[in-house]
Amino acid sequence: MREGPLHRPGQPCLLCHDDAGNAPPFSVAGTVYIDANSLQPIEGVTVTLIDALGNRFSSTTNCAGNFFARPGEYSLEGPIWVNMQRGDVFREMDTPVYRDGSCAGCHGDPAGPASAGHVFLIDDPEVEEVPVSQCH
Amino acid sequence: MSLSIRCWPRSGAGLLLLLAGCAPNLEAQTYEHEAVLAAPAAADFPVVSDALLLSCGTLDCHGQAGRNLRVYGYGGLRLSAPDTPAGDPTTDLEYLSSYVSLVSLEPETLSEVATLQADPNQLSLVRKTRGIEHHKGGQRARTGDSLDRCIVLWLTGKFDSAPCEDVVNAPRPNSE
Repeated sequence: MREGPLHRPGQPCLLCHDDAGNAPPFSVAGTVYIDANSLQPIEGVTVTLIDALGNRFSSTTNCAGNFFARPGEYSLEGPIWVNMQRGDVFREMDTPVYRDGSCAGCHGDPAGPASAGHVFLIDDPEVEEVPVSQCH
Repeated sequence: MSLSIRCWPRSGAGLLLLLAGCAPNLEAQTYEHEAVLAAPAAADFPVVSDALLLSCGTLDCHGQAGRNLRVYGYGGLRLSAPDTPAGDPTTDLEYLSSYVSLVSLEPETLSEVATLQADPNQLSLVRKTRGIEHHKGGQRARTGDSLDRCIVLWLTGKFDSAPCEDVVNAPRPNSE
């Protein structure tokens, strides 16, 4: 498995990227895809986290759709509200994050009674358009 | 252990729990123990559940099937397919399932709280929510705030929907 910021998109990052893991710890991390029916990642999405005290942190997705926050940059102090923006397209999570800093902990595929499905930006691909990512 | 539930609509102690003793060999069992227990009104629970869902029932907390306290509904754990967290509104069966999950946690103590024979702090639900007892999710309410009043007033038969609605309708942090 290659290492680096492009690896393992869509997987629960903090399984390894926590204090007990063997990878640099993250406080929040995840992957953003183009829409609910696509596993095509989007780069350049600004993911903004706002915690219970109003503290804000923003991170931008790379070409694998991955984004992350390190503990020194942002500590998870739930509840955390999350929104995403790329250009004119803006999307907010319906519910806050309380404990799990891995987006994929709740946003695994397929969507079902216990999973919200992968994180996506575009609600209607026919109305909202963004360029897809091209990782090299 | 078998558990049967009788619902009485909207009374201070609106539910009876009949708990039959553990009986690994029913034929050999020569006695039957039944306890009649009170519980808060199921009819008032939906708005309480809505407040709990937002405060406690996300998929990374009590919106997980592995939890003793499970809160089902929109934005969190759904009771059955094809519902998804972002799908249809919370169903009546999900409200009932959340209710059963909550009243089944500590039914004897709950009965005493519902009939005003015990302090609400006797319940793990209240202690954990108030941060009196260790809670992985941390302190979720302070005594007297909206979530606390929503829960405790319902538990003690003095239900008031207003604090629950305050929790549900609280503005999210400015995201612009």
